[in-house]
Amino acid sequence: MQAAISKTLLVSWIDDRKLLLIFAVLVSVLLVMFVAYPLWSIFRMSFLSPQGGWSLNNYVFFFSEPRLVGIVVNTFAMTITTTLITMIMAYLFSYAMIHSAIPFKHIFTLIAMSPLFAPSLIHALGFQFLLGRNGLLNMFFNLGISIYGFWGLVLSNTLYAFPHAVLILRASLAFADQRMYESATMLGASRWRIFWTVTVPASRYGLMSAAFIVFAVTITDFGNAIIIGGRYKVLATEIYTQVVGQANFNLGAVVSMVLLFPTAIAISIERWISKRQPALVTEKFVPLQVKSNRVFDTMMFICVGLICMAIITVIGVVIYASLVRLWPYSMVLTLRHYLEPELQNGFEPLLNSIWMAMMTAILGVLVTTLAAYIVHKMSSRFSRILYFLSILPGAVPGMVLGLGYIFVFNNPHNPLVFLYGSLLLLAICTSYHFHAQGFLAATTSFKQISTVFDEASAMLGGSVIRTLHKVTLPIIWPSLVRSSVFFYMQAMVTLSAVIFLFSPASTVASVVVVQLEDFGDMSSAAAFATLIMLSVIVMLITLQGLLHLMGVKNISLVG
Amino acid sequence: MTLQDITKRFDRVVAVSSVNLEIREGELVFFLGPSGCGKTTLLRVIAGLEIPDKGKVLLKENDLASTPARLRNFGMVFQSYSLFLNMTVAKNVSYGLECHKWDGNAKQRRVDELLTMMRLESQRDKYPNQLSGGQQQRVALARALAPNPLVLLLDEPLSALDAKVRAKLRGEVRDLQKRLDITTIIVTHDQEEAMEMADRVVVMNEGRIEQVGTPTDLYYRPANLFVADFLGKMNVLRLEEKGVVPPRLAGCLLSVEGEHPKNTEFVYVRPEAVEVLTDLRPGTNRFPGRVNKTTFLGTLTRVELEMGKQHLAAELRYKEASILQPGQEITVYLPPEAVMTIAES
Repeated sequence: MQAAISKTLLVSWIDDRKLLLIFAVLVSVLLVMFVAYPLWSIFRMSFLSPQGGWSLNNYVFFFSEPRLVGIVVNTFAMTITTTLITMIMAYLFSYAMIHSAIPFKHIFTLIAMSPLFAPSLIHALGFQFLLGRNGLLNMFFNLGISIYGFWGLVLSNTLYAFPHAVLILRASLAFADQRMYESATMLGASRWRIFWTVTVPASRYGLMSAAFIVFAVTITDFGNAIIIGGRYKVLATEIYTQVVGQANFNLGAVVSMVLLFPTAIAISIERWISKRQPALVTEKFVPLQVKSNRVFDTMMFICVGLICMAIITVIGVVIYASLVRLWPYSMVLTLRHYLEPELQNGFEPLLNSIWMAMMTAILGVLVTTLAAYIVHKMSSRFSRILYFLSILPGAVPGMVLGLGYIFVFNNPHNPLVFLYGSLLLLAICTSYHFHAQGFLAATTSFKQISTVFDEASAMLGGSVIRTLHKVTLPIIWPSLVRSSVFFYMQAMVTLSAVIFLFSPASTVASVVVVQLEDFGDMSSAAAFATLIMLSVIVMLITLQGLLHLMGVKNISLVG
Repeated sequence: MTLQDITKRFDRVVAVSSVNLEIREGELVFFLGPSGCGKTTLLRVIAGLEIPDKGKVLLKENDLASTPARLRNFGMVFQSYSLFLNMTVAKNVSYGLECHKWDGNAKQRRVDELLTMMRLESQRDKYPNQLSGGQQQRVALARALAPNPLVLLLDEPLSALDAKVRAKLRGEVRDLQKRLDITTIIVTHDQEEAMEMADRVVVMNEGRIEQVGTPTDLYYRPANLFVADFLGKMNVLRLEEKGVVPPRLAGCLLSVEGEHPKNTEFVYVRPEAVEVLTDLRPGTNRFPGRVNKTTFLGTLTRVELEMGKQHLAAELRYKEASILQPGQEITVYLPPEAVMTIAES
């Protein structure tokens, strides 16, 4: 029954290995063009003196200028304080979620996650409406507090970084093993003692990981700093001042390098920690059974309630402000900020944002999935380089990447100069800004599918394309949907990278918030911030509903 | 199929080292060896899933080096079945046919034929995770056989199943292979499985082939101690003096069938060949000994013996074995035809 070999062996004009190589080259070229080259340009610019030629003069100038050194000190003081406060709050919150028997955990979690749906600067706006010059609390109680500066920044960034920390801490606390707690109790340990001897050590990887993430998120944030920082300057705003205010690109590049350095270190340490983390769940794992304890639960309920109140109040006051006639002079409720926009191009920026976010959702998933697939399939030194390039953007502040894009794409000699000022470039920049997160998520899902499926398909004669189409994608598509939602959300709320790249025709909503706030049109700024939040939430609900209609029940799009 | 001087390294570790092997058409060959001996790697080299560092895989004089796995048309069944979880049983089986561009009717007929052959007709619209382990394995087999592969490769196909299902499937796979007359290679670490099913067994250790032969060859004429030990238990007995003919054991002459090689230090006896006699009179190959311990195992009784300071075990099938008492003086009888010598390298 075996026919002649020549007949039964298949022939194919597509060589899988060549195909993979072609895509590998394509992915690398894109990564070099949109990540490595912009970074190199900044690096180079920071060492070029304005007269031309390489020198250390820019750095020497930076570190001999007391004002600039002061900014470095400011940045670290603010970031470290924020990290400490955020970690305490987030640990308390996550601990309560896992170890107490309080009610409404789902609602509390949803509230804790809500800062993710809004641009970071919504917190600065909120605090301004509460404790600013004409803030509600200041006016009612005549407090005379000035929120601008250090504490305003710390508070706003704490709320902003809070969900990032909770996501990590909750996951690491969730792997509490019932048996450990039972044996500790049997040995006579008190709850306090168990907390310090069992809970905290078991979650140490999560703690460190979260702390470095919070550090990186805070140090790179631009939105809060520009709105509530006042005279308290930090590195992220200083880049903007140098580049946009004074057109001093060389010094802007130096500030970028100074900001890049600690961020990259924090992110590298975080990656290192999460790689070292041992498998959290073993086969014999027994999940924790929470027993209710009235005193403890009440205490936890109060703490969690206060945290959630703070988050709701800050976001809520922004929504409220968007509904009053003219903050703070005429507090009559009105919808006019939603009906007749102040700006001459109306709500175009919002549409721009949505359009840009949709492009990012597609582009981001495409490039990160492709990169992850290639790194997964190829095992060579080349794939290690590709891996590094793929996670590199995770360590790069948005401001720095954005500045790099100016250097590269505002250069008339670059054939891609036509991209400059377009929404597409904003989408590309955002896709690559969040490349690391998308890439790592895609890598995880590729790793979860055993390579045996690929091999089984190959043995049956399936090409790489067919395998991807018939076997791999049908299994991983939920995670691709989740990834595209992530890119959409990030693109809607991002400010730092796009602040350098928009043109009048491609102004996006988050930029408009800053502009309106700068003009003093607080209510309109609040309205735009609210609209951004709404577009994210509407998109999430629609998509979740669609998935539900399609019969997919077990996908949670967030968290 | 011919394997010529196949060598495969992973980093510094040599997984397969200079393997030469000839496999005849329609033959059922087992690669047998402990885990890490390179048997799976060798199978994957044949499949085209690993590229050998050195050597060639020839199929009827055709070098397969430039033919990637997906164009070889070899059927493969993986240890973990690797059924496509998003496809029904029927879809899984027809996947290979689609890849080979079979037309609609032929494809349909072939799927039906295989599902019938594997008694899976009633499962055709189920998904893999709704099936039992044995059923999943039959689907994997049907899927591999569907595109009329030139060679069938199975990587530890039965190891994930429980004992009873495994025993049943062994027979089924063997019958199927004979009926379809398809060249088949099965990788296993289970010597019983290999003994029961194989035409020929390739015993591997540390990346090398130790011996190739029929199950009886390997069992009764092992080329070395590794093969002897791997295929069942073996008593190793030290001779009194090396290179003396006729050999002496435990103070008596040892009678051996055939010619006794000169430079051996040891002789080997399978435990089931050792006989224990309560009759203490001397005779050919009768050695005085003592019972140390008996263990009743149902179908047989395992008796640990001492014979002139050497330890050996006997596996006795008769009922009287259970009356042996520890410390009892007995006679150990080693039938001359059961005493093996292995040339030492």
